[in-house]
Amino acid sequence: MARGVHPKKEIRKALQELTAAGWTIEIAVGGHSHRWGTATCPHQHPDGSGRAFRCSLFIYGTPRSEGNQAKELRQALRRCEQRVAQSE
Amino acid sequence: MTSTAYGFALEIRGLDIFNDEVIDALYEAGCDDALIGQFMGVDRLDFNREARSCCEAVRSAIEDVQSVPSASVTCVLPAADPTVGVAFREAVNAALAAPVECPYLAGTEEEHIELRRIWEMTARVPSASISG
Repeated sequence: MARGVHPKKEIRKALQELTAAGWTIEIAVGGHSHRWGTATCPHQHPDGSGRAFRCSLFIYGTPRSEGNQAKELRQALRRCEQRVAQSE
Repeated sequence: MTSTAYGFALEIRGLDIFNDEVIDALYEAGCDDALIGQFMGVDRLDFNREARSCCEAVRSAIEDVQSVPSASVTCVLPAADPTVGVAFREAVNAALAAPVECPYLAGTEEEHIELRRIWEMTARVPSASISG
């Protein structure tokens, strides 16, 4: 499996959706951790009190269920986009 | 016996989730069925947990998180398609505030047992690790 490609097909597909929405994917170096990589959103969500936050997602290399991990990645993308829509 | 996967999220405090050792500790504690992330500056784990019942799913997830040193669960949030009842979730959130007595819940016997277990776990967490 090439570096930079998640070994689980369903997670790969979800990560493609995140990337298409402008998220950056940083892949863990060394492969010594259960963290395969980290996805970060392209937004700075303001909280209304002068602070702003990016979304971060820590993706396992071997989650218990690849389908559920992929589902939660998509939910997080939706949550982020809803937040953007609300603050516009 | 078949089991169902229950979706919900736990808000957590006290951990540096940007540290790989912390990610590994959560994974090894049994949270390999959650997505760890941060939204609006708040750390959260989005679970899809198989269990005999939703209250067992929530209780065991809280237990797993709190088995990691200095971790505390502050809140249970509903999933996008909620599988955990509102009354049980609100009672758990009340219990997570570590009140002197276990919150009241008009629920099933199993819900009472799991709620009490959650309240007992929370009560054991020293206040220093919550404020830290």
